[in-house]
Amino acid sequence: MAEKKRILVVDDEDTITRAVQLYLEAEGRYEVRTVNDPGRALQAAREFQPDLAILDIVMPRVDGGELAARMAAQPDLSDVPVIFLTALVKEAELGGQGKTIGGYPFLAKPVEPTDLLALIESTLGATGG
Amino acid sequence: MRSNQLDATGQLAAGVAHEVKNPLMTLLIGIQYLKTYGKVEDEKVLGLLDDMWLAVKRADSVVRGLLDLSREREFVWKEHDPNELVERTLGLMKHDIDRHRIVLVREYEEELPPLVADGYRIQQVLINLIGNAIDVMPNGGTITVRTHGADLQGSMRGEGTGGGTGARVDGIAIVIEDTGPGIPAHVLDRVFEAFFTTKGKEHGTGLGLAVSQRLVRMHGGTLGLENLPSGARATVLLPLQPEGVERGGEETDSGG
Repeated sequence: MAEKKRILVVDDEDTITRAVQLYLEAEGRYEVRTVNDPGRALQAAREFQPDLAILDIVMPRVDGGELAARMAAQPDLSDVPVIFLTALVKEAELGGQGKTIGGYPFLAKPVEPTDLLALIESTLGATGG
Repeated sequence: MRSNQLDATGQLAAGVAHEVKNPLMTLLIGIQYLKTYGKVEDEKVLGLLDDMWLAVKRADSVVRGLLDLSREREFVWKEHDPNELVERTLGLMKHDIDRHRIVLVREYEEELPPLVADGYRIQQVLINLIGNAIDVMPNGGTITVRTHGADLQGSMRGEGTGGGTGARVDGIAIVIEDTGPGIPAHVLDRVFEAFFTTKGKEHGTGLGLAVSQRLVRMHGGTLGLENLPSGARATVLLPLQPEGVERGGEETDSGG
């Protein structure tokens, strides 16, 4: 059996990170670590060495964009692909697949689990992860 | 009064949207988890989960409507052929129109002058209006879509808008008529209020007409609704050149 992909989920809403973790781990292909305090996310990422990071954009103190930039600046995390989640746009504004924020793909909350899975798979596939 | 209501709603909308979309996401994932991995075999429970899913999607659509009210997204002003704009909208709605066995009648005035508008926004308005017409005729009926040049200045002087011979055309009228039951008198006065709906919670958010009116006003136009002897008529009047808007060039895309 192939090694599970490690996914870091950072969102200040703990109900969201718990639900995402439960769902993704039930899929059987992923090992998920969640972080609710974005100030601790960089350290968690360095310890966990994820294959992919899912970051909420609007968070207190450190937003998702800043966190992605900090990760990109770390030699051991610079290759980690990022998916943003945001409650501030509508799905229709994404204009279909392939839209990005700062070069990263994003999904509008509330995200349907199947859409999240599809984007995780395509992002991991695109990076050879 | 109504515009004040909408402005107040708009200011709150972005904040509310953010606060509501997070719990909705927890619910969506939780429901999907229970359906997929919850080992639920009781049909009643599965039905309940489906209803919960629909309820969340409905709440999301209300929030999205609120975002529409509040969104001051930059408009893309371009020149459009009014008839093409209408025709593209009908293309988007073809499936719905066919599915409800609606007869579509097109009465377009030919060679209308170009309209400077945000094509996407005007399509959004037309989708709302045509969607309403479809909704009130669940067993089929006729929708007539009419376009003609309009004399908006003349209409402000009480001379009517029908750009007849000799009239100065400074606007476009897009008229949508249905053969449904019409709009009850006690409803007609409230149709543009945000959250007012007669469609029932399953089908309407009560934001379609409020958003449509706001979008038309942002074009310097008006949106009117009236009853016909048999059915109802929605009239969108748009100035050819909205005040204070620079012409943004030829239309280039589908406006989507």
